Amino acid sequence: MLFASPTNNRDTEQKHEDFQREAIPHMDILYNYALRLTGNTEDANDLLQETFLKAYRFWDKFEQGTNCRAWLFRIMRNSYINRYRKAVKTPEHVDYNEIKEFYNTIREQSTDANDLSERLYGQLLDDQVTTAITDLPEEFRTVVILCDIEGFTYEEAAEFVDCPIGTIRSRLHRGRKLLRDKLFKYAHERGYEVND
Amino acid sequence: MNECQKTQQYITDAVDNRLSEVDRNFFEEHIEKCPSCRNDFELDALTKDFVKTKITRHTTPDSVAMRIKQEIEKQVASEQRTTSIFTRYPLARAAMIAMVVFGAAFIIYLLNSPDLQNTVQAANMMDQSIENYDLFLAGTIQPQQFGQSVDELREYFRERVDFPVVLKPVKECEWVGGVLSDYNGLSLAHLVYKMPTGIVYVYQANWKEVRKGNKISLSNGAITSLSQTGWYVNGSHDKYSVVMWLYNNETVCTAVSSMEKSELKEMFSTETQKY
Ligand SMILES: [Zn+2]
Repeated sequence: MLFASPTNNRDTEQKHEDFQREAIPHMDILYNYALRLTGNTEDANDLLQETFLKAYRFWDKFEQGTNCRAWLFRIMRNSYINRYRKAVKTPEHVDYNEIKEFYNTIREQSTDANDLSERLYGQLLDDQVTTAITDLPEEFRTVVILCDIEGFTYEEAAEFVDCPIGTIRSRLHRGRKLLRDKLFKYAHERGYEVND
Repeated sequence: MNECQKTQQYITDAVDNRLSEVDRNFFEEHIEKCPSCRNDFELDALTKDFVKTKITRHTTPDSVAMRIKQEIEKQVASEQRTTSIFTRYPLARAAMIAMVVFGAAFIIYLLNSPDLQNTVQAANMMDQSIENYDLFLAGTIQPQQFGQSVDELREYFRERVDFPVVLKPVKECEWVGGVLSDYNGLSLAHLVYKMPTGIVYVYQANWKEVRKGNKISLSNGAITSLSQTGWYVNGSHDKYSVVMWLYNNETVCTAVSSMEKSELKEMFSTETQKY
């Protein structure tokens, strides 16, 4: 017979089983990524659901034995780029000399790295840190999330994003600088508010 | 490249502890004597550590995880259900009953759908389309999705095949059904138009794959005619009319019906629409 598949119950059961075993366990890491991408729980929930439904639909395209988490991650990233990407914000200009000067001062006054970190960013609210990450352009944000928050190696991140390791390195470099500028700016603004 | 420039290039790897011993020695020696590079490095490292401690990791809320699992189970169920035309679509029901009156042995086959199997050799699309047409008439293959117009099938086909599915609205069509299938790893789309005079079946596949001929093939005559004119109307199948055409150089469509060939061709000749 020439016709098959959509109505074959055994195949469907097997597929469902494989999917439960291989894909579902990665839900939490994807949920966190969705949160960082979209910046709010409602869109994150939608994006997560869309990702898993697409993954199920395209399950036969997943090569068994390869990195399922990376595959799911790419589906999520593409879905996000297609649906949610906002207009790219131009990073606000922060004078790096100002940061350096400030850093030099607190470095002299600080007793250790913790103290230094506290003086540098201690004024920041958690929300501001989240916003600073969400506001990074997507390509930098994704790499910062993968490497600095999730703790993946450059090699793993390169597989997730599907690009060379050198690209991961340069995006991480740039991403950290953008993040540093933004955090510094927020901390400073807030520092003035608190001290006034 | 001077020492500072070289050091700057090492900063990201240094923050992540990825430098080789030689490079690390160089790097550490340099920042020892150059406060500017040292500060750049320390700021990056501090930023990385700070962000990591500040970002709370969440677990997926139970309600969200539950909903996703339910949605997937729904998908599973819909794949398993050999959709009964009777419960799914009342209009189709009326049409089916009408067809029984016309003598088609629909219902018997509908009630006991046989288990479907795969074959592995490359099949001729023309032969396959005629065989499928019989299977549709017999109710062995059933559409998964029904609509009063092709627009209602758009969502069903969306992103599920690697070629544009041609959804041509047809005048006087009573209802239309669609189903996807997989043949040796090739995705295929099938449409059934219920016309006042009978069923018109349209079988669609990826033209590139058909031309390769590994899984689904076509006669050389058909390929040449399609490539040159976009159409192929074959005279040798006297049981039914078969008309093939090409859409956008991406999709090859084969329509089968008991109506006249010229009539069948006319039905699909005007501007087509894709999903
Ligand atoms: Zn230097």
